[in-house]
Amino acid sequence: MIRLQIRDVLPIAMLAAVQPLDAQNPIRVQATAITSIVHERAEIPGDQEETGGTWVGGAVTASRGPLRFELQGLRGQMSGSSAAMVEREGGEMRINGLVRASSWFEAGAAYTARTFSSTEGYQRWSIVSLTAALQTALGDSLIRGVARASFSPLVSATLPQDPSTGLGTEVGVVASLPHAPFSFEASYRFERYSFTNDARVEELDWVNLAVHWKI
Amino acid sequence: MKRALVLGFALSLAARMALAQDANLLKRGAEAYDVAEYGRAKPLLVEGLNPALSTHDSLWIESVYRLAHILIEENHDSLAAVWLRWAIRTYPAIPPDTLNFPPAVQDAFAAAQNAVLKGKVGDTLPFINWEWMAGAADSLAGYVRLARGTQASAFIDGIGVITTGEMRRAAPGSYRLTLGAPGRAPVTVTREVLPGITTVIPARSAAAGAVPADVGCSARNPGGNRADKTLQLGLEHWYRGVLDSAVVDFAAAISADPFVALDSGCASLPVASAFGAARRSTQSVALRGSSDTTLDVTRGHWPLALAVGRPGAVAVRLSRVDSSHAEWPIATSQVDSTAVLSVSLTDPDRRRLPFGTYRVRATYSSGDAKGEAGLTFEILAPDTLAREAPPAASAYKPETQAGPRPTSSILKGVALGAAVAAIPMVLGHSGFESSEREERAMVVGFTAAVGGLAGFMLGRHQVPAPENVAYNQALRTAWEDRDRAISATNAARRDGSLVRIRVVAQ
Repeated sequence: MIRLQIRDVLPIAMLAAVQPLDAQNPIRVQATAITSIVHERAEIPGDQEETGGTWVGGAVTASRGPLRFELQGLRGQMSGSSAAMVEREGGEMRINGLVRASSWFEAGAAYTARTFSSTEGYQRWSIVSLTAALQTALGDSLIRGVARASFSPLVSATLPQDPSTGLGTEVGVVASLPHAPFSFEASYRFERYSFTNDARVEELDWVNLAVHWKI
Repeated sequence: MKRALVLGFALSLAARMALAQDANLLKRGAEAYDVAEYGRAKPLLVEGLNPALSTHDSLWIESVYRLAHILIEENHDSLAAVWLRWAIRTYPAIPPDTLNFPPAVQDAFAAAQNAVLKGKVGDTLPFINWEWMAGAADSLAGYVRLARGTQASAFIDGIGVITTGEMRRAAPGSYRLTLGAPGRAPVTVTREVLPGITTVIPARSAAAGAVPADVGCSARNPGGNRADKTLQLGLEHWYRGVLDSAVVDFAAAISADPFVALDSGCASLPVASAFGAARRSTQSVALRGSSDTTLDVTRGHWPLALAVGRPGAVAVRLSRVDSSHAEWPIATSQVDSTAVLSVSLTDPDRRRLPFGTYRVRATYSSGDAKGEAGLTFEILAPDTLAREAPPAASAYKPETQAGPRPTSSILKGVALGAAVAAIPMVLGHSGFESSEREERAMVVGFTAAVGGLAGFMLGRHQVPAPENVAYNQALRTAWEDRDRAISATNAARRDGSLVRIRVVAQ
């Protein structure tokens, strides 16, 4: 179960209050539907396991001026690579706050709560990340390439040992329709978590297909 | 009393019988016409068309056409034209009949209608009678007679002068009759002479008809103020020969507003003389100025129009209304009917009048008669010109245009695709045996590369369009110039010698 506490959202709310509301600087909202093919791999010395499945979910993005906030949720079933592994349910909730520094660069921070549960147990990850995002038009303004990189200095997990750091990246392409509020995105997202003394390695990757709707 | 009643009944009965007989003539004429017995039909129709005995009903109108058709069939086209002109002049509401008669009749009717109605303007002499004689249909000539009564005479083109009681023989046709009576202006009208029929001009009609020779004359502004409407009423009385009422109306109109005037086209007409006489006998004075104007007080004068009825001396004085300052004279003039005064907007010491409300007063005297007229006006700061809005965004042309395809998008797409494909190889743990992650990355990387290619195909570099840039600059510059000129004008008006003069009451 993912639980958001007041301390998780307070910084974002404070950031949103920085700029006063006015007609020249309206809040723009975008809703997104996401289908994601997700794979998780873990290596414990002497053993490897891999699970995969499909997550579905959505996101709501609110932006005003240079600020952008994103709340994203995904959930789905995952099954193991071998018949011996039990099925489990997985999902994540991510809050992302970004500041646009230029037309092509954004930087910010994210908090991600990710859970896995099965009949054999429950695992929760809490990840605080620093994020940088770049975008560039591919010839036409309707087609954009996007790339995001993240570094997670604070990661905790209900494991015998907390991960030490995490690295993540996501690269994709967004195609918009002329004079329409819709756009489509295909992206590849990858995250890797390291543990002290190489006691464990965890990595996840997602192939995301998303439809954005500007409200 | 009984005798009178019996006599009236007898006369009424006789008239009804005559009308019935006339209708019978036209019906019999129509029957003969329908079976093409034109020789029998023509005298019946000629006899039946006598307007003294018939009404202008559909039978009478059809009979006019039938008679014209018969005459055209007999090659008497000119005679048919005379009958048609006479019929249209007698009853102008005859409609064209394009169904029952051949084109020759229709053409003759159209020509007659054109001739009569075109010359109808000013022709208001209705009192002309025709006397039908026996055997009119076989006659070759007609007659014109000026009835006995008031002293009058008529001049008929091609015939000469005839006096009251005199009758002249005339060939069938349309004649211009100039009617005159002692002390009256002559009037000219056109009338037809029909074969076997006497055109009778009653002497009373000739005398009365001599007056409205100037029919068509109107007030200069017939729909204007009460005085103009009174003048128009007087003109209507004049046209009807009610001269005394007309003169009274003229005097009333001039008394109400001495600026009232006849249309300029009336100047040489008798009515103008009557109107002028009425003016000279009426005591009246009025002032008039343009209701709202802007004036440079250092160089210009404010024109004021002055009108009087009877010619007289007019003294014009000016005073400030909103203070106790006394009046001072600005003009004295002998005015015959109208005059224009140039009023200098300065005080007796030739200093410029300050903003405020002023009154001009004209005192008029002509013999023992006296009168007064006034006009109140304000001197205000002049209005400033409205600023012009800048050109609309739609007025500008795009300052860029499509250039070459963006080849860099292919490179970007390929680089992006390679970056995606490289992610698991760079970041991934090499110890994992599965290669599916690389395959998934490759699929997305390929998609990114395709995106780059699509961008190359769809996209265009935007390059400057110098002509449009110049056009937009010219548009902006022109507006800025106009705006600057307006600003300068407004500044000059605020600080300069222009004033606005607005008439408050006159």
